[in-house]
Parts: sequence; C-alpha cells; structure tokens
Amino acid sequence: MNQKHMVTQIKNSIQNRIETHEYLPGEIIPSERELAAWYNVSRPTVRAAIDELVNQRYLVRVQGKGTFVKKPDHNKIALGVLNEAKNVSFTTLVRSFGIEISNKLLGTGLITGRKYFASRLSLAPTDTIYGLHRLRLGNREPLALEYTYVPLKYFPDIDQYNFEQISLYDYMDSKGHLPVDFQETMRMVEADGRLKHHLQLPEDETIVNYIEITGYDREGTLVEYTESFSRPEKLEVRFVSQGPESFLS
Amino acid sequence: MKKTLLTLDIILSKEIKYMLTEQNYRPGDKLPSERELAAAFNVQRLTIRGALNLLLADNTIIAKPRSGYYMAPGRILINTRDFSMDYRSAQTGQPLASTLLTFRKRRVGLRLSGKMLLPEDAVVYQIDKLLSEASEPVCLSHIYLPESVYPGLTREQAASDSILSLLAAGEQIQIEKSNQRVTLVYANEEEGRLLSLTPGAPVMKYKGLMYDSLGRLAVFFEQIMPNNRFAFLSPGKRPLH
Repeated sequence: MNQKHMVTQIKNSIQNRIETHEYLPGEIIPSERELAAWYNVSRPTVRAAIDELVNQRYLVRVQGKGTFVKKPDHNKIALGVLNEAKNVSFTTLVRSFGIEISNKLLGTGLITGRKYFASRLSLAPTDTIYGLHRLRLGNREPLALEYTYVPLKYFPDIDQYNFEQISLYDYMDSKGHLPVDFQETMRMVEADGRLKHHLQLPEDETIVNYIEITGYDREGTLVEYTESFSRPEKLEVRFVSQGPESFLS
Repeated sequence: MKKTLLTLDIILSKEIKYMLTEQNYRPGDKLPSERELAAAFNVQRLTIRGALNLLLADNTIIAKPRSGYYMAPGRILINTRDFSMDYRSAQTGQPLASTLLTFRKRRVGLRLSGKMLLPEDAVVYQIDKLLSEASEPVCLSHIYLPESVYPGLTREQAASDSILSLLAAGEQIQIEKSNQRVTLVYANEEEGRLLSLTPGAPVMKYKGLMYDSLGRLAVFFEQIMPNNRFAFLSPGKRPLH
C-alpha cells in the first residue's frame, strides 16, 4: 500500500473517531509516536494525516502540549432563518440560547433618491428611508453586523429611540408594523477590512455569512430590509420548511 | 440621539449594483471605468473604489489586472423550499450537468447513523454526483436514500438528472418537511481534487434531512460547493415575484 493511501486511511480513521465522539471535543489525541505504533506506519505518515485534519479544522495543535480535537464554539447558535411558525427576532432568538445580547450603534441616517434601497422596500425613489447600522453582540462578543432600512413613513419618530437600549422589533410592533414574514437570501462572501474589524475575525477566517432579509408585517406591507453579516463559526444558518403549500406557485 | 452618517461606500455599492441590473449587465460584461462611474454618481474616484471593493468582496464583480472590472458569473440559486434538488445555471437556466461518481447500496454505519437518525444496520442507497456548470465543477453531492422508501432503485434512475422529481413521480413520494443548514467547512483532499480547489480551502457545506408526508426520512444530503457559486433563498410565506 502506498504512503498516500495510508495517510488517507489514517486520516479517515481519526476523523471517524472524532465524528462518532470516541475522541471528544477538547480531548488530546494520542501522540504521533503512539499513533505510528498503533497503525504500524512511520511517523511522517501519521503527521501527514494529522496535518490534513488540522487543515480541515478537525484538530488543533498546541505548541508543547499536543494535538487536540477542536472544540465547537459553545456560543454557536442557529440563525433560525425561518421557522415559519414563529416570528423570531434576532434578540429573542439569541436570548433563547442564553446569550446576553447587546447592540453597538454604528450609524443612523436618512436616505432618499437611492434606487436600490427604494426598490428593495418597494418605495418610490422620492420616499425617505431610515437606515440603522448596528453591530450585534452576544456576551459582548460580536455576532453580526447588520444594516437595517425601514420606510420612514411608517416610523416617523424612529430617530428619537436608541436601539442600543431597546429592541427594534419591539419598537416596530408598537407602531403596528412588526415584521412577521420574511424572504431571505443567504450566501457566503469574502470579508473586507470593515467586516474583519467589526466582527473581530481571526486571521484565518476570511469568509462570512451574508443574508439579505425583507420583512413583511401582518398586512403584507414591506416594512424592513436588512443586510446581515455574521461569522459562520458563531452563527449557523438553518432553513426549516414545512407543508406542501410552501412550494413555489 | 447623536446623528451619525451612514457609510457612503455601502450605499454607493448598492447603487452601482442596481445600475448594473437595470442596464442589464450580463456575466463577463465589462463595467464602466472608475472615472466614468465617479462622474455618473457625482463622487470622488476614491469613494467609487471603496464601493467597487465591496462588490468584489461579495463576488458581484471581478477585477482583471490592467483591464478593469467585469461582471462575475451569476450564482446558482437554491430555493430551500423547492425539494427537487434540480439546480440550474443562473446564466442559461439549464440544469447543471451531472456525473454519477458512485451508486451503491450500503449499511448506514456509525458515522451516518448519527446524521440520518437511523439505526446503523439500516440500508441506504448512496448516490455521489459531481455537478458542473459550463464544464466547471461546482458541487460535490452526496445523497442517501433509505432502501425501505425506494425499494429497487436502479443505477439508471440514480443517474438521471433530477432524482427527486423522478422518485416523486414513480413512487408517489412527496417531500413535506425539511431541515437544512449551510456551514463553512474546509475541503478535504477528494473534495479539493474534484472541485479544483486546494485542500483546506474554505467551502460551503449544504446539508439536510427531508421527510415525506408520513414523516419518514426520505432523503439525507450533503453537498460541498465553492462558497462563491451558490446562493440560498428562503421565500417565506409569500409567492416569489
């Protein structure tokens, strides 16, 4: 059996042990020497297999200590893109995971004459849009950067509120325009300097979740357009669909 | 409340995007120069460059050195409510070409048992395919179908383009519920080789469980794709416009 094949076999074997929880997250795996004896191969062969698993983020090498099974992020939460049955705001969703949420305001402002935003909110370009740029934090760590735009005509006094303190959805609800139905598109994008800075991305993380959300209130009025950037390590994107009526018509 | 300004390059990047859509720019088309864009939007060239950088990051456009900016290939849109798994090119509307890599009947085994929530000795069909758009490999697809739900599935059926629609027609299986997730993973050797990526490159993993109207598990799928070639749509309760 050639060396490359052996590497793959050993890699698969270790990966299996991780996935079936024989090796638990945070647990140290046997040393290269032990593994080489166990599989009856040379140490470079074992090292190559471990290298691949480190590359794929299954294992982490700690200088002077050994190789450990990577711990999943305990804060990782499902960005519950859309349990249709519930109206889940980000705050509610994150709170349900026992995470204390806070917001940092990055900017607010009025927008008029911008065709893109007007079209996303089904407004005329002459209508005024209120923009709210926020960093959402969970247990003081950045979770998502969110740019939210709402039609000013439904929320004329919005600028008097501080959305670092109060929930945007509570406010929208108080105006009779709580979004309850969402259309979303999700993709992954490269993080630029601003995202790296705000989300405090580690050096080796360059890809972020990007979700565009349009929210409709009970009457079917389009009341929100949000762009949300989040770390895949922290927020998992999940889609739930149920019922034949959910098929496209 | 202290009034701060919204960042101009974000707003501007969206305006450029809108213009490109409105003027019907197609993948591969060359954008106007930075100077022309600056004039058209009445801003500094530096501001335009900031906006273009945002469009580069989200892969709306690509840059060619000493040439300019071009429209990037359109992303393949997956409707998470359309269970046919019939992916189509954004450019041509044609289904992706598929090559059957593996078709076999196997026991679920330890690893899959946890993912499929089936006993280890349950029997499933494993169907591995490589999907390509314009001869560029874009998705490595693994589909597992319980034998009990699809008795006697043949290789020919498995190789056909839209396996789920076929099965729905033949066996009257209607998918009613699904749980799906999209995560970031790092390509292994095989995934790298098949998708022409370096091993360890970040890739998207789209995986999910689908259940039929009787609540039986009908499909488990795991798909690996380059992170700049696909987008996912959750349409909500509203019909698409």
